[in-house]
Amino acid sequence: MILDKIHDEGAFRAALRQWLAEVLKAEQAKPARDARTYHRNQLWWMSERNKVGLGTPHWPRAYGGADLSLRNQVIIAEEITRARAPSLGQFTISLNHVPATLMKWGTEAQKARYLPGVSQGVIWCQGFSEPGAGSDLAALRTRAVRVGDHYVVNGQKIWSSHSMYAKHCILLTRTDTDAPKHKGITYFIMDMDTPGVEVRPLRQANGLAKFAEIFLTDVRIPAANRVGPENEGWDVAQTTLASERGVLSFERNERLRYMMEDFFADALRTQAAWLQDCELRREFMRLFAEVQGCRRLMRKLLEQSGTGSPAAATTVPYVKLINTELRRNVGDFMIRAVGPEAHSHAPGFDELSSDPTFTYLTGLGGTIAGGSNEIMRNIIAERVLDMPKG
Amino acid sequence: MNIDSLRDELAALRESIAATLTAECSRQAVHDFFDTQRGLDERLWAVAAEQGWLGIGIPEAYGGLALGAHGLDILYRQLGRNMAPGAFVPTLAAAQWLADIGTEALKSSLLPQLIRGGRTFALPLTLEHPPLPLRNGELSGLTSLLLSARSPSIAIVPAQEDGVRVFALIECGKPDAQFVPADIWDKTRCVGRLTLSQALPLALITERQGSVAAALRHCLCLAAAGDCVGGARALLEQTVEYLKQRVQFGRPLASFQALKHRCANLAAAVIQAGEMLDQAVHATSDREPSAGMWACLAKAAAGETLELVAQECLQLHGGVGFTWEYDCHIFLKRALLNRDIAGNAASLRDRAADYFTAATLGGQTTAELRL
Repeated sequence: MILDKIHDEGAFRAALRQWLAEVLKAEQAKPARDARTYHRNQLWWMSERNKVGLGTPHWPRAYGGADLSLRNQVIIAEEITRARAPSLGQFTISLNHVPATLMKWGTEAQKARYLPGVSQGVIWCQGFSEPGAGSDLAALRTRAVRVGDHYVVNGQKIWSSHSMYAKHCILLTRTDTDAPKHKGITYFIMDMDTPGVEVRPLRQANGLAKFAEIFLTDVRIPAANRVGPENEGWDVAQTTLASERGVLSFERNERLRYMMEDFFADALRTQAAWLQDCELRREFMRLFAEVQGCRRLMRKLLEQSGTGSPAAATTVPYVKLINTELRRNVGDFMIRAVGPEAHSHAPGFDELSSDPTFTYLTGLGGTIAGGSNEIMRNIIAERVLDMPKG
Repeated sequence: MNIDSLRDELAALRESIAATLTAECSRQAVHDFFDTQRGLDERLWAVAAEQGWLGIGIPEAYGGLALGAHGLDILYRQLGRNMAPGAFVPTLAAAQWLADIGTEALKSSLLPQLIRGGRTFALPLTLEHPPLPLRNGELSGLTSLLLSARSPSIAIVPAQEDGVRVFALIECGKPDAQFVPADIWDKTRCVGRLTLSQALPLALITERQGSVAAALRHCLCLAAAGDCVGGARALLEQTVEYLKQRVQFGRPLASFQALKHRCANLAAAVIQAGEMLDQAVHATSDREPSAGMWACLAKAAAGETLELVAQECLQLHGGVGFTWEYDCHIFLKRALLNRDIAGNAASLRDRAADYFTAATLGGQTTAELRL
C-alpha cells in the first residue's frame, strides 16, 4: 500500500513512482485524441487511483478520504506530474468544489448522499456563470421559485465544463429579485437528469468542446437539495470558489516545468534549429526562470493556506495572473521556436498534449477562465494595493 | 542552526536594517547626496560597519555574522529600497567572492578589515572585457569600467599572462594605481577606471576553467538583483500612495481602472522578480550546482523589472515624476546602471542557456524544489 508509507517521505515517493511506472504503461494513460477517449481515460484513471487509495486522499476519513496532510498531497501531485501522468480534469468540480462546499454548508444527508459517489467516478459540473453574468457573477438571473417542497428553476447557464458528462450540478439561482444582488441568491445541488435540463456543448477556440450551455426550463429541484439557507447562496459560492486555487493549480504549475524541460531536451536530441537562435534561447531561459518563480510562489501560497495565514488571500490573484499568462507565453514561445512546422495540426486534447498551438490556445483560455485576469488585476489593485474602487 | 531560528534571526535582521536605513538614509538625505556627492555615503559606511552589515555573509572565522546568501539578500534589498549610496554592491560582492575562492592568507588579511569598514573594493562592471596583459608580474594601462567606491582601497582587475587568466588585486590610491571616477548619471554610485603604470598586484588569483570569474559574476548578480528587487518594490509602493493622494477629474487617480491595472501588472512583475531571486538565493545557500545559473537568470529578470517599474512609475507620477525633486529619476538612473552590472540580461541568459544545455545533456535536473 502506498499510503502506508506517508511517514517516510523517501519510501512514500518510491512507492508512488513504482505504482506510476506500472500503471502508466496502459494505453489509457496516453494523450487522448478525441472527447470520447478522453472521457473513458478519465474514468479509467479515477478507478486506477482508487485501487491504491489515491482517489480522494485529501478528504477526511469520514467521507472516504485518507485525511492526507497538505504536504503529502503535494508529494502526490509532484510525483504524478513528474511521471507525466494525466490529471483528473473531468473531476475538478467533484474533487475540489463539491467537498469544500458540502463539508462547510451541506447537511449530513447531503454529505452522505453525494460525497462517496465522487470516488466512484461521479462527475459534477458547476452552474454559476450566465450569458449576462460573467465577471459580474452576482448579476445572475436564473430564477428559482419555491413551490411546496420544491423549487422551480428557469434560466440559462454557460461555461459549464464537462457538464455533458455530469451527473450533478452545483447551481446558483436568484430567489429574491428585490434584494441587493448579492443577497437574493440561493445555492442548489441539481441532478442533471431532471426533466427540463438541456446541455448544449460549446465549441472552443482550441478545438475542444469541454464546456457547455445549460438550459433550464421548469426544472424541479427538491428543497432538500438546497445548500445553505435561502438567499445566502453568495456566501456558499465563496467557499466553492476559494477551493479552486489549492493543489489543483499547483499541479498545473508543475506540468509547465516538465513541458519546458521536455521541450528543451527534445530540441537537443533533434538538434532543433531554434537552439542556434540566441534570441529564442534567451527567451526560453527567461520563461524557464519565470516558471520556477511561479512554482515558488505557488508553494508559498500552499504554505500560507496550510497555516491559515491571511496572506494567502493576497497571493491567490498573483498566482492566477502569473501562471495563466506564463502558460500562454510558453505556448506562444513554442510556436515560434518550432517554426512553420507548428502549423501542422497535431490535435491536442488534454494537459498531456505538448502541441504548441494547442498549448497556446488553451493558455489563452486560462487567462479568461476562473475569474478573468482583468478581475485578478482589480483584486490585486483593490485588495492588495488598497486602491479605491472607481 | 535550525531553519526556524535562522528564519527568526533573518526577520530580526531585516527589521533592524530597515529601521536603521529609515533613520540614516532618508529620501531627503539621498537627494542631498545626489546633488553634492558628499557625506551620506561615508556616514552610511560607518553605520554599516558598526552594525556588522559588512560581515553578514562572511564566516565567523573572519569576524562575520555567517548569515550567508539569505542574510546578504536582505541587506541588498533594503539598500535598494532606500536608494542607498556607496560602494556596497562592489565591496560586498568582492568580499563574498574572496570568502568563496580566496586563499586562507588573503581571507584572513582582508576580510576582518573589510568588515570593520576599512576596505572598499572596485571590480569590473560586467566581466565581459578582455583582460589586461600582465608583464613581469606588473600591470600597466587603463582598465575597463569598474564599479567602485569613490576612492577604493583595492581593485579586482582581470589580467592575463602567457595565456593564463588571473584576477589581480591591486592596491589603489598609490602613484602606480590611480582610480579616476567617471561622471555618471547615477550619482548614488561610482564607476570609473584605474590607470595603472607598472603596478605590482597585492595578490593574483588564478582562473580555474572559468570558475573564478563565474563565482565573481554569481556574487555580483545576487547583489545587483537584490538592489533591483528592493528598489522596484519601494518605488511601486510609493507610486501607489501617490496615486491615492493625487486628485484629478474630482477623484483620486488610484480609482481609475486603467492605472490600477498597470499597477497590478507591475506588482506581479515585482513579485515574480522576487521569487526568481529567492530561487537563486536558496540555490546558493544550499550549494546547488545550478546556483550560478539561477543567479544569472534572477539578475537578468530583476534588472529588467526595475527598469520597467522605474519607467512606468515616472509616467504614473505625471509631470512631477519628471522633476529632480521626486525619487523616480534616481530609481531610473540606478536601474540603468544596475542593468549593466554583472552583464546585461542577454549575456546573462546566454550563460544560463549554456549551463542549462550542459545540465540537460548530462541528465541533471536544475529545478527541484522542496515544499
